[in-house]
Amino acid sequence: MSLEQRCQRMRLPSPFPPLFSYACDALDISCCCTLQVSGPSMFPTFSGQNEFVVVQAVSPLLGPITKGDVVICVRPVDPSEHIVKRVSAIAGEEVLLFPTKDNPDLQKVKVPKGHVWLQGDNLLHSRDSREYGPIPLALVKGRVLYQVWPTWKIISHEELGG
Amino acid sequence: MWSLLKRVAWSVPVAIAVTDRIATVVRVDGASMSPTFNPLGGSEWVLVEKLSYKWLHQYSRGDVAVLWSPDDPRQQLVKRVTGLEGDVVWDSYQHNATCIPQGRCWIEGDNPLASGDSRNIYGPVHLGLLEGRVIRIVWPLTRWGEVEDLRSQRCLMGSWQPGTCK
Repeated sequence: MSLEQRCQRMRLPSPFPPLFSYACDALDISCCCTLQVSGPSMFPTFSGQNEFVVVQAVSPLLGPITKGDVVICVRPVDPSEHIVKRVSAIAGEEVLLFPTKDNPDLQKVKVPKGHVWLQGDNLLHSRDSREYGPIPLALVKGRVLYQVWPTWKIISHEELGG
Repeated sequence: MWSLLKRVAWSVPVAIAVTDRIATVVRVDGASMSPTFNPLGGSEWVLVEKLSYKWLHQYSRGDVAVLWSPDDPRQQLVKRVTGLEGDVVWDSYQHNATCIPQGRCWIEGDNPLASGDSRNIYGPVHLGLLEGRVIRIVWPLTRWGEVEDLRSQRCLMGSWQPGTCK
């Protein structure tokens, strides 16, 4: 008896659609999955109350990662977690870091080849490239396209705060 | 005919899911891991298991890992993990001690003369870039066998110290 038939017998949904979607995702073909976001770092884009968003595996079909994209990325200090941030600078650009209590000088950081600079929209409550440094593109796992719950919203490419 | 098509349609995503998350076979080129791989040049095929890194997130010193290059997200490297977060490694070219930050590791090719790795190009590399662990050489059949674990040798060489720095 095939897996499909066994699933039908037990009245379970067929595992084929999610498996197919996963395969397209793994191949970086344009296919989407939904994820839940939480935390205050992307306010006001996401309120951080467990919204559901549609994420597309980084596919050449929608173009390369550009400035202003909201992306899902493996957390640099803990590879078992993911973070949602916005790309504020791409490879070759320079980023100006304002003085903090750890670093009293104005710093200029050049984003190296193959890396991006990520920042949360809510700068006061975001752990991002200002702490982790430039992040290699291979850690960026997907691009956020829309929010689907609790409201429908297209995630815009506009950079907040300039 | 239809059942054959269905079987094919089923096997493709399963194969992709397996090679992405469980195990795969990759080709190793270049001399950076000589003599562990390609001792006489050419290329070899190795079996890579992905469960340790992608499911369990368990990383060990001495693993030979397949990882995405920090400089080019479409290129993969095969290097040995010689240090983990918190370790101090001595850079043999510059005689400096480097502290490996949290979430990163130190990778080196087994052939230091022909390897671009953490010592000369990348510095500490994010653990999230590690894709899988090489466990066996599978082709050519004359080279079939386990991958050597050089952990004990590196300890004796004194180029590494376990986690002492933050």
